[in-house]
Amino acid sequence: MKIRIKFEKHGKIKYIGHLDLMRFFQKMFRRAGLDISYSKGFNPHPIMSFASPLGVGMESVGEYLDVEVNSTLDPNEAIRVCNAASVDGVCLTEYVILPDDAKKSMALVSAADYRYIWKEDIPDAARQAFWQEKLSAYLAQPEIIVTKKTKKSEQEIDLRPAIYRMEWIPEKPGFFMQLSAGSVLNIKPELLLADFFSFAGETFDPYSFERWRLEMYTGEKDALVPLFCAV
Amino acid sequence: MMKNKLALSERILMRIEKPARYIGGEVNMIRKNPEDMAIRFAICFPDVYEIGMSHLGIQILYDMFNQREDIFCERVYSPWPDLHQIMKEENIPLFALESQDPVKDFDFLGMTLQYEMCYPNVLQILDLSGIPFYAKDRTEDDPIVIGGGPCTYNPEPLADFFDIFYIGEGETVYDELFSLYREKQATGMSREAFLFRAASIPGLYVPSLYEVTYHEDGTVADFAPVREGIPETIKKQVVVEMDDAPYPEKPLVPYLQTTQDRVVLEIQRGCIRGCRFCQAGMIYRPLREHSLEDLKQKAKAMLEATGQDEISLSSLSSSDYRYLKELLDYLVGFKEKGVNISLPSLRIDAFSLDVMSKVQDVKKSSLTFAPEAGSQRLRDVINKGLTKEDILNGSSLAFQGGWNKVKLYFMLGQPTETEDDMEAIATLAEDIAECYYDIPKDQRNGKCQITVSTSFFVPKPFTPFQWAQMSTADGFRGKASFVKNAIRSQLNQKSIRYNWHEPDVTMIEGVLARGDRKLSEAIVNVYEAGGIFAAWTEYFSMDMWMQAFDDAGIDPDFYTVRARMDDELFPWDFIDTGVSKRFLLSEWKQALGETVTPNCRQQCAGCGARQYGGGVCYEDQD
Repeated sequence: MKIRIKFEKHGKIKYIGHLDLMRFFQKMFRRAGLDISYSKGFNPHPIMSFASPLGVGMESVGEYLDVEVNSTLDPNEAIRVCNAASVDGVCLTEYVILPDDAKKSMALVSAADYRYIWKEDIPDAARQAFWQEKLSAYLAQPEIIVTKKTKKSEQEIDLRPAIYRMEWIPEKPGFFMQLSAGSVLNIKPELLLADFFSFAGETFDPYSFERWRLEMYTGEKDALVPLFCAV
Repeated sequence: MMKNKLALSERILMRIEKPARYIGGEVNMIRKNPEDMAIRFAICFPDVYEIGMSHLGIQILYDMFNQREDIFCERVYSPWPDLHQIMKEENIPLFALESQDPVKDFDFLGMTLQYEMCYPNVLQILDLSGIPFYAKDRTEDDPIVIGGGPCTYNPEPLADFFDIFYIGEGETVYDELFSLYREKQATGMSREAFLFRAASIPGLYVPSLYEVTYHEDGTVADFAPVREGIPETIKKQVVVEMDDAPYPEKPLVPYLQTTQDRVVLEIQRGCIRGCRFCQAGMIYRPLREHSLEDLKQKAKAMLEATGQDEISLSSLSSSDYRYLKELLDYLVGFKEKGVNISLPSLRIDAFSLDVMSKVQDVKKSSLTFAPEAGSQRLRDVINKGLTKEDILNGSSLAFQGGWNKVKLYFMLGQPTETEDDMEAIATLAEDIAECYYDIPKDQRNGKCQITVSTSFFVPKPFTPFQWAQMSTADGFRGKASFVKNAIRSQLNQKSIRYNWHEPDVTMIEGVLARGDRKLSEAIVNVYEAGGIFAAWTEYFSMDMWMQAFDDAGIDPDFYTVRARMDDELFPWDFIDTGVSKRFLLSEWKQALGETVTPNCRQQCAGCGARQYGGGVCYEDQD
C-alpha cells in the first residue's frame, strides 16, 4: 500500500541535506511504529521516494514523500504519531492513502511555488518602487535566455515560458514565483532571481532572503493541482 | 527560546562543509533552560562531529549528567579546519551544540582523550573557547578543564593543560566532584581551594599539585605532591556492577552519517585475555559482564527510542561473553523489523559461522582473524591465545559454508620479532589460501581473497610491553617491505592482498604514549604551527612535529627506541590501575621467555584487579 506524505521543513533543520533527511524519515517512521514495508535481502530498507529534493538552506511548507506500508493507521492518527516522533521543524501536514496504480510524486511534479523575502538590507519605499518597476519590465520580455548548468553540461534555455507567475509581495517585501519543476523542465528559483537581479543591474545574494518552497503541483500550467490532492 | 538560536550565521553555515555538524537539535537531544541550572558542563570529544558522536563514553556521561536536575551537560566537537579558520578570523567563540552558548561561560569543560593524535585538538578547543592553554594561567572566570579516557592513563604530556584528570570509569565519582563544586558556588571558595579539595576525591588527579624531578639522563627521579594532605597515588575508579551503571536508553540520533551510526550495546567491560601489547586489556580489568536480561531490555529500549536500523555489540572480546548465544538469538528476532545486526569480530567457529550466516550475506561478508603475529613463537611472546589450527580450522569451516574472503590483522615490530616471524605472516596467508583451493573446484565460489593488514606496534603504559623498545620509522618501513616481498613469493600470492600504513604517525604516537611533562611545549608548538586533526592523514605533517620537538629541545628517540631498565620510574607510575607493576614486569619477563599466561577464566594470574571486589575474579563465587 502506498502513502503520500506532505510535510514542512523549517528552522535550523534547513541545514540538513537531502540524503540525511531521507535517513531521518526512515528512523522517524520506525520510532513512530508505522508498519513500513522493507525491501528484501540482507540490508532491508524502506521503499520511499521524495517528490523533489530541497536545497540545503531552503525552508518549506510543501514537501512530499511517498512510502510503501503493509498496513496503515487512520491518517490523522498516523500524522499524530509521526509528529510525536519527529523533531522541531519537521512536521507532517497531510497523509494520503494512494491507489495501487498511483504514480510516484517524483514523476508527477510539474510546478512549484516559492517565496523569497528579504531578511536583511530590506528595501525602503524608493527601492521597493524600483524593484516593482524592474519586475514588470523583466516579465515584459518576449524571451529570457539564460545558461542552465547541470553536472554534465551547460545549455541555453528560455526561462519565460517556465515562469508561470512571478509577483511582488508588497507587505513583506519580496517575490512570489510559480515555476516549472520536475523531470521535464526544472527551474531553480535562484537561477531566475540571479538573472532578474542582473537585469536590474544588481547582484543577487541568496542569504539576504528567507527562502521558502510553498507547494508542489502536478498537471498543466493552467490546471495545477497540489500533489496531495492528485489521487 | 533555545529552538532556533544558532551561534553561526547562515552565511557561515552555507560556506562550510556539512553545516549539520554545528546546529545540534538531534533526536533525543536534551533541552534545559540554562538559567535554571547550577552547573553547566561542556563535554567534548576533540575530533570532528562524526567521530565524536560515535563515541559511547560521551553518550553515557551526557545522559548521566543530565539526569541531575542541577546540571545541563552539552556537547562540543572540534570545528573542522574550514570553520576553524573562519572562527579565528572572525573571533567567533567556540560554542556548545545544545544552547549554542560559548564554552567559556560553562562551569566545566570535560574532554575525552581517546588517542594521542588528538592532543593538538585539545589546544584547538581551548584556544577557540578563549581559555588559556596552561592551567596555571586560568582565572575564576574560566571553566574547570577536566580530562578523561584511556590516554589519561599517562596524562603527563597534557598535564600542564588540564586542571583535573579523571582516572577510571566516569560513572563513579562525578557526583562527589559536583557536590564540591556546589559548595564552591555557595561559599565563594577559590579555584585553587576547589582544586586542592578535588585532589582528595578518589580517582581525581590535579596535576598542578604534583611535582616531577628528573635524572640527568631525562628519566623521572621523583614524583610527589607539592602540598601535604593529598594522595601520592591516584586510584583508577571502576564500576563494579555493570547492570547498575547508568546507560542511555535514549541515545542521540545524529542527522549526519556518523562512524558508528547504529545502536551500540556494551555487553561487558574489560577482557580476560591478557594480550601483552594491549592497554585496554590491562586498564579495564577486571572483566565485568552485563546480565543477559539487562542487555535484552536495553537493546529493545534503545532500538525503539532511536529508530536505528542496526545494532552492534561493544566489548573487547565478544566471544568471551558467557551468554552470547542467548543474546544473539534474541537480537536475530529483530531482523523481521528490518534491524541489522552488526557482529563484532567473533572467534570463528561453528557457532559464530551459524550466526553470521543468519545476519550477513555470506557472499559479501568476510571472516576476520587477528593473530597479531605470524608465528606461534611470537604469539606466545605476546600472549595471543590463537593458534594456527584455530585459524585453519575456522577458515576451512567457513569456506565450506560459502565464504571466500578472509581478513588477517597483524602488528609489526613487537618485542623479539625476527624475519622468521614476519615470513610466517606470509606463509599463514598462503596456508589459508591452500585450505580454500583444497575444496573441489565445483564446490567453491570462485577465487578466494585474503587481505593481510599490518599496523605498527606502539608500546603503551600499563602493559607488560611498557618496557619495550619501539622500532624506528625506517625500521618499520623495512619490516613492511619484507612482509610484502614474502607475500609476493607465495604460490597463491594473487589471492593475497597486503595493506600497511606509513609509520610516521605511529612514531609520534609512540612519543606521546610514553611521554612526560616535558612534551607540553612541543604540543603547543604543533598547534601553533597549525597542526590540528593530526589523526587525519591529510592533515598530518611529520615535518611539523619534528620541528616542534626540535624547538622544544625534545629528542623523540628518548621516548620510543630507548631501552628501559626494569626499575625505571615511569611518568605514569603514580596511577594505580589495580594491576600491579610487579605483575606487569613478571609478564614482561614471561614474554621474553616465550611463556604463555593462562586467561582469567583458566587460572588467576594474580594481577591485582581482584581488589575491586567484582567481575571475573569472583565469577564462580557468586
